[in-house]
Amino acid sequence: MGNCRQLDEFLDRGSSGAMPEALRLHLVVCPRCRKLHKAMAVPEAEVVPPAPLVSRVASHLAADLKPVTPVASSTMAFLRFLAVSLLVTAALLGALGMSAMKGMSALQLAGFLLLTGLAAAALAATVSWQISPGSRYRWSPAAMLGVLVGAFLLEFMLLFPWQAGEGSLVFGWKCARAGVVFAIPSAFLLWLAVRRGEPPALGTLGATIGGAGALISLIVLQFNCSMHEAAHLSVGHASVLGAGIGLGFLTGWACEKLQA
Amino acid sequence: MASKPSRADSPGSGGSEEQGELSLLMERYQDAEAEAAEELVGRVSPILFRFFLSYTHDVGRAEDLLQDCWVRIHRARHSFRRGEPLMPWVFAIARHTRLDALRKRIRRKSREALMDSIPEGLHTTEQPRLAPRENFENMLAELPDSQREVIIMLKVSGMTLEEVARATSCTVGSVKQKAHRAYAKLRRILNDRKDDSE
Repeated sequence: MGNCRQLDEFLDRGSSGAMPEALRLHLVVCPRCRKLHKAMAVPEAEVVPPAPLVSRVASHLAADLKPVTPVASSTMAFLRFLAVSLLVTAALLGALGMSAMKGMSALQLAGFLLLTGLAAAALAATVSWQISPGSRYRWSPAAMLGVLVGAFLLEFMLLFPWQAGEGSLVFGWKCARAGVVFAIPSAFLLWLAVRRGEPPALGTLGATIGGAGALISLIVLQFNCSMHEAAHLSVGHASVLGAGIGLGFLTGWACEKLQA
Repeated sequence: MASKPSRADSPGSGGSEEQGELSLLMERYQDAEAEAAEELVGRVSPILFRFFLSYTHDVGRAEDLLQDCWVRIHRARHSFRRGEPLMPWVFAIARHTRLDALRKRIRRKSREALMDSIPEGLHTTEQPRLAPRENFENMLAELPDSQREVIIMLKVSGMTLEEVARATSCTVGSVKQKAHRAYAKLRRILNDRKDDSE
């Protein structure tokens, strides 16, 4: 015999197709499901907008027609965002150097590069969905950003030694401040790469681009700051990600309010 | 009251011939073909109108929302990706049109509440209202907005879970969860209604 969950699945499919026999039997014995099925099966009224309104809208649109170039496909948008991120990172590293990279062990370096690569790909994919309404989301942008911050914190805590010296937090603050300074122009350049899009939620897009700018900043900090200890990295470096996401969200949210 | 078209025939359904035709019309609209624009407006407007009306139950407001939505669709037409299904894109814009209008309405109402008195002549004329159908619209009004939105898109607009997920910028899993929570709440509401005949 079927169960209430099977009715839910049947309703998810818009009650299309023949009802399974097991579900039919379930409806006989379950009054709650029977009532729900009956309420959901009520046909919709065939209401239509007034014809003059439709023709007025159509003629207005037709009068203002110009050819437009559609936004890039999600693959192209993904690759473009990754390429711009790579260029900005390379330019910053070229200007500031990578003097502190030698201080990292092979495992630390490999772990950091692997996580950075995954984070960059996840951010680029999320941005490519957000710039076109109606895109298919494979994960939630907000959850992804949370996981990103958590993953970097975890990596710093697991791969780097805990030797919180006196200067650790003071230098942490300095690194965080410098990180935010690098993150803002990086995020702006990334925004230029996606500005043709029409994001449904500017706050979320702002947070994602802010996170991407902060990721670039995090790479620059990691390769230029010689203080490779877990407490410093968690406070001074990973916090840049949080700050970038927060600032990006606020900027996007403010833009949305201004547009409204 | 005519019956609802089957899901396979509905323009809100994915993968159907109708979907492909609408996507092609949209591509021609992007290329500035006036005929395609007119045909697209003619075919999509009834679906959008039904969507707006299911929230407002007010013909005048649904018409305003429809016009506003087409202005937004026109401005954002470059953001439609060729080869993608059209209706989730349209509904993503319609959804924001509705939400923005709702926010404006709330702001306006809060401002009006601050005014002591309004001269009689300044009141707007009443638009015709549709009586919400018992057992469905009344029940939907008791759901949280996010769950209500999913049920309206699934039932009224005849969209699939995948299309609703695309239109609401969510994952399919999240939409499914909202729908199942809505069904659970609807069951409770229906069960609490003693006068509801089976």
